[in-house]
Amino acid sequence: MPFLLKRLISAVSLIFATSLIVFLLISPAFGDIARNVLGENASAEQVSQLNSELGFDRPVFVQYFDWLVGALQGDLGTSLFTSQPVWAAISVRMPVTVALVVLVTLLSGIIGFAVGIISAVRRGWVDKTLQFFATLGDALPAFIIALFLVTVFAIQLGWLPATGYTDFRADPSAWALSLVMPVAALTIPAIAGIAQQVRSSMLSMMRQDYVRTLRSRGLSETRVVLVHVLRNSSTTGLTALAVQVVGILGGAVVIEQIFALPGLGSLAIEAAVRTDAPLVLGAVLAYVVIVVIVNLLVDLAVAWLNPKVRLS
Amino acid sequence: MRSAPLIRLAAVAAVAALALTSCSAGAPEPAASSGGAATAPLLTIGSLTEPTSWDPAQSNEGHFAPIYQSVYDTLLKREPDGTLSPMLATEWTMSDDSMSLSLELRTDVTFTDGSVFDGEAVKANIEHFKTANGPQQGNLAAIESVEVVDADTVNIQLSAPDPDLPNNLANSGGYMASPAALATPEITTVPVGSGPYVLDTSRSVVGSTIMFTRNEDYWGEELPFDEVEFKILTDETARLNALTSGQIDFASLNRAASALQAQAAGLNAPEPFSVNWGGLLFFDRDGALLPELADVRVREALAIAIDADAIVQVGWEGLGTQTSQVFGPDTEAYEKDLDDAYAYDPKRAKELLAEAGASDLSLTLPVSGVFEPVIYDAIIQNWEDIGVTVTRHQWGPGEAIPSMQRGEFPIAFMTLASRSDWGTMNFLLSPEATWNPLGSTDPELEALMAGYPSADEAGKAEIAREVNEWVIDNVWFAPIMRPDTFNFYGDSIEIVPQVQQAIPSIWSYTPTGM
Repeated sequence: MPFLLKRLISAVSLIFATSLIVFLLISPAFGDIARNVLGENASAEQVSQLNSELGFDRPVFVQYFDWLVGALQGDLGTSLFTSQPVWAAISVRMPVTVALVVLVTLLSGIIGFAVGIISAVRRGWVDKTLQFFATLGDALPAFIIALFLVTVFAIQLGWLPATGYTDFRADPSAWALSLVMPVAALTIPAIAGIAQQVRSSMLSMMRQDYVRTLRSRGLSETRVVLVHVLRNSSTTGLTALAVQVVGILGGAVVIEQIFALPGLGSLAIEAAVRTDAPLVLGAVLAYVVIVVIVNLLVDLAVAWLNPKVRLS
Repeated sequence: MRSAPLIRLAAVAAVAALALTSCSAGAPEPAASSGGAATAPLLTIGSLTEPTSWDPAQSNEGHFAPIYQSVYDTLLKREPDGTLSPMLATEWTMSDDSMSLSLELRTDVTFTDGSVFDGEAVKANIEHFKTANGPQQGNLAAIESVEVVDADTVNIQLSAPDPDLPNNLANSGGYMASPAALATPEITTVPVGSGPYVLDTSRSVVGSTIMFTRNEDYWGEELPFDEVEFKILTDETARLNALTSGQIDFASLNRAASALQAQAAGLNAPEPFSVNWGGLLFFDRDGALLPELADVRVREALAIAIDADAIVQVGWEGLGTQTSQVFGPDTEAYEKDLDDAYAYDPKRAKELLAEAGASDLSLTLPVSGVFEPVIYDAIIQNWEDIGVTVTRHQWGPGEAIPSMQRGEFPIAFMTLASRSDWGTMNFLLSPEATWNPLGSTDPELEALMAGYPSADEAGKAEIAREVNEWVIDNVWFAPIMRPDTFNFYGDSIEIVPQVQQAIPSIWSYTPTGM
């Protein structure tokens, strides 16, 4: 299937290119890594000893090549600060970020589509109200919503945990509780963007001739809207959703910090602050993989809904 | 906050929607279930950092201390007031020439892997520590060899007198691990010590939670908590939120603004104490990078141009004490009167610059994201007020300390831990000191310091005071303040702060009323 193959090839080259760019971007920090690992009290001899143990005194491209050879064999190296294999660190943290992103994507997709459809069909005050909240949601960054939610629901009311994450297998209800606020903080702004796209696409579709034809054939309004109009405008909505997911991943970095969720985002931040090069690379690549997979899924969904796409 | 009610409405609506669609968890339970109870099953500490390795040779101090202390006993114990008491060693005696330290060891201690603690274990740990290139390796630099006299006696031979050695054996450098485990790579991920707790690996997640359960075979007095949990909360807001909502019992905060919030939330704090000093380090006292700086009048001008009191009030919300000394108040070197040696005097500063022929001085001040921008703004403003042209250089994340220690800038602002007198001389003043990257030196200062290790107690105190005065007279630094340490805790526990340590040691937390 050439369509899928093309997508896969571009995905792999994207991952490869990202790894090279990130490696080159952090390479100026290599000289400082040993110092940061050893801390402010270490002597200059200790620092140069660690630098050569870590191989940071070799040319950058040699180091990248070594890393790449390892990575192709499934070895992403070891964190310089936690002695944990990068792969282990990522696999522990991946489920947290994936849970967050999947929940937010599903919820913002469902609610975003619903809001968009209702706005387009009902118009009038319903539309105006929804538009207002959509604009507001669009204007509020996730972290502001997060801080507000924590103040009310964790500190004042004590209903939800302010920080932390419980593994689903350990305690499903605690897992759900630990995700309510982070998911809400990320969903609210995402709904807005999707709803706007769905609404405007639905409105322009409903003005088209084929809709009038369908109506004139006596099809119920529900069937016209939910089957025909929605199917044709879903491409726009899904694309908006895919764009939102990338935004959600960016927002998740901050949200994971605020709620101390042990996800990829907080891992990436900690690694970057400590100049933990192998971990930064690993975390960024894991992010790219998530983005690529989401986009692939959206592409497939769009192609399934709209066969014309497959030909282009 | 014009749109606050709308934000609230939107958020509440969205949460309600989420509750309907996503979570079938039923009625939410109160979040604050940890800590609290009188039986003290669990102590939850919010930590802004986590160990990089469980290998004791890679251990670190300050915020790391209670984490390592949970699993590793030290040879000596440092009490909250800084005095030393027995731990794994029951007695310690320094030889008359200060060149060897003899330790009497406990004989009833086993490590959690069943191996026995004895003289051989001490030797193995010290030798490992000295070669493993850990962050505190310098702690044991003076040790030349360890002689095992018998199972419960060791003799530590020194290459040079080190007045701080007993103290270091109660800190990183003194942690004792099973020698069998030390020889394996697993020691980095699973600690094997003789401490009051053992790591529960199944309930710990790197970067998120460290869970300790009681060591059932602990040789010493039991600590009051059955379990201790360290929640890794690197983000200050997360730490404050967890503390305010009762999710954690204890946390330390970095920013004065957060401390004010914690105070307002009714959290408990010990009497104000300080473990750091903050101010400017004039690295380039010889003028290698900035020739004017070789003139002590220029350094003095820069020091007295700073309105330290204003910086304390604005940069630290008044939560600190103005100072001109790098030696802390609990040292022999400290003299209260010297705290305003560099009292704010911009007029005199201008005169000094003129006398030194440096009225058109221009310099670069490196700026780090770690400190409040207002501190840099105030310093720069003060300097510009006396006619100095200041350029900023922005350091990226993780760049500041390496750059300073490579000696890339003549002047930089930093906060550093206040150390013992000998520690301050070794870390700030000696020509090889890590914080003297350009190797400034002076015969008078060196002679003073050289006499310190072999002097008697009274002589040491005298020398330390002279060193302090010399450093102030020669304006090697422009200290601004000693910031308060922000330790906060809920109503279910009590703490005893530890001198020269950012947070209390593991044995200094007790349930309320015990």
